[in-house]
Amino acid sequence: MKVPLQININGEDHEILVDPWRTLLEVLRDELGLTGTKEACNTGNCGACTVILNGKAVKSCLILALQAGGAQVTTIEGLADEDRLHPIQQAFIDEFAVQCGFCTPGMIMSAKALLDENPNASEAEIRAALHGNLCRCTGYTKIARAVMTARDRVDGRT
Amino acid sequence: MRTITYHEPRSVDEACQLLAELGSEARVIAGGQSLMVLLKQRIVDPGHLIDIKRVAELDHVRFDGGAAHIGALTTHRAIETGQPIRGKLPMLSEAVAKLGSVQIRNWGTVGGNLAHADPAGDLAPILIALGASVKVVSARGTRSLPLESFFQDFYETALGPDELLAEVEVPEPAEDVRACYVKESIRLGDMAIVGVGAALAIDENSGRCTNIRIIVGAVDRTPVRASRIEEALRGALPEKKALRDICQDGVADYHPLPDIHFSSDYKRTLMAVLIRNVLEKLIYGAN
Repeated sequence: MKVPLQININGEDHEILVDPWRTLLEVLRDELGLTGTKEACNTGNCGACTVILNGKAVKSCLILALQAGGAQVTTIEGLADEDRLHPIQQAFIDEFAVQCGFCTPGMIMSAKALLDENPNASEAEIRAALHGNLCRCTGYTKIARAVMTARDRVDGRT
Repeated sequence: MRTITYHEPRSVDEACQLLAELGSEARVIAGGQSLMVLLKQRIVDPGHLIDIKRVAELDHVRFDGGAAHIGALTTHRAIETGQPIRGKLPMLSEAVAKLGSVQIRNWGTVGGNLAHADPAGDLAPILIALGASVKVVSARGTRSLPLESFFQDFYETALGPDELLAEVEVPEPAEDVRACYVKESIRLGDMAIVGVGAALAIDENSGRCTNIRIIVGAVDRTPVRASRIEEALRGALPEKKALRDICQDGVADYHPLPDIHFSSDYKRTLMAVLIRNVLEKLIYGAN
């Protein structure tokens, strides 16, 4: 039996009916068409599906959609301010931190959750916060550098 | 067509009533960081899902009566970063930081991790080493049991079909107690190939080892004690040089369960190495 789910995504309220076993990821992608959040391993290992739920980075493939009822969810689609990219998105471009791009939305959401909580995060803290996000292209150096660049820009240090 | 009826109790009483009615027809879900994978693959396919994530009274950390009372819904992240637990049980915060990734620790719960009873779970070895017990509730009442006897087999616990794991109680360690958890895994945050939790005290006057507990995860159906090593060290003044032999001899009787990556022999060797590393760290402060 489907159950009503009320959820706020990127500032917009939604009310939909979902099967109780559906994941937050399935609801985002299949019900709401927000395909920026990626599905890869679907077992909680790769982090491609990372979104921010009530301020915390979580893996949306491992969360029952109904558990996000009443929550504020931010996905990659919610970061840019119209045509102006979020500083973390811009830094990923500027630092060439993207190759195939599949892990990028998850990386950026993990980085955002970290910098929201700890705007002065060190490189070690950045790497610790991103270790649940796998990238099979870049080797992580440029990703870590991009997050540091974003940190310094937001912080007004450059 | 799949049918699962979803229940969302808001209190322990309500959850216990549901469990009393539905019993083994139902599965309890907390953070679901282990259960979700099993649900998706239909390894677990219950008729009813009892979602306890909103039972606020199970989300607490209280210190009283010389023990930490950690509600089943406490997230790993709260144990890792929250006060006062970081101050009073730093070894537990450090152990939890080795579990999964930040995202997993943000949503996964202590109760869910223990009730899932994966033999490679990271929390059980350090909690058992610290002498933890669990409080189990049902419509019939409340009981406590040592965490060590909570685990019965692969993914099997002492919980009856109508029972709910409500709280973990961890005695506050005496000042002279040292404890830690180490694990070996392929990548940071992966499941343990072998995990070792140990606690001991060094007598201030004699320098002798007392109250030693060594618990090994991921080698058998449940976490196991390294009893022979405990016995060799209890009341002893262990010399650093002797530890290698004590650990090697002490694991000789174990036949760790192999997995797709690691043979039983490899795991036995790793067990001895990790136990020695832990003991060196705890006794001599070596890294």
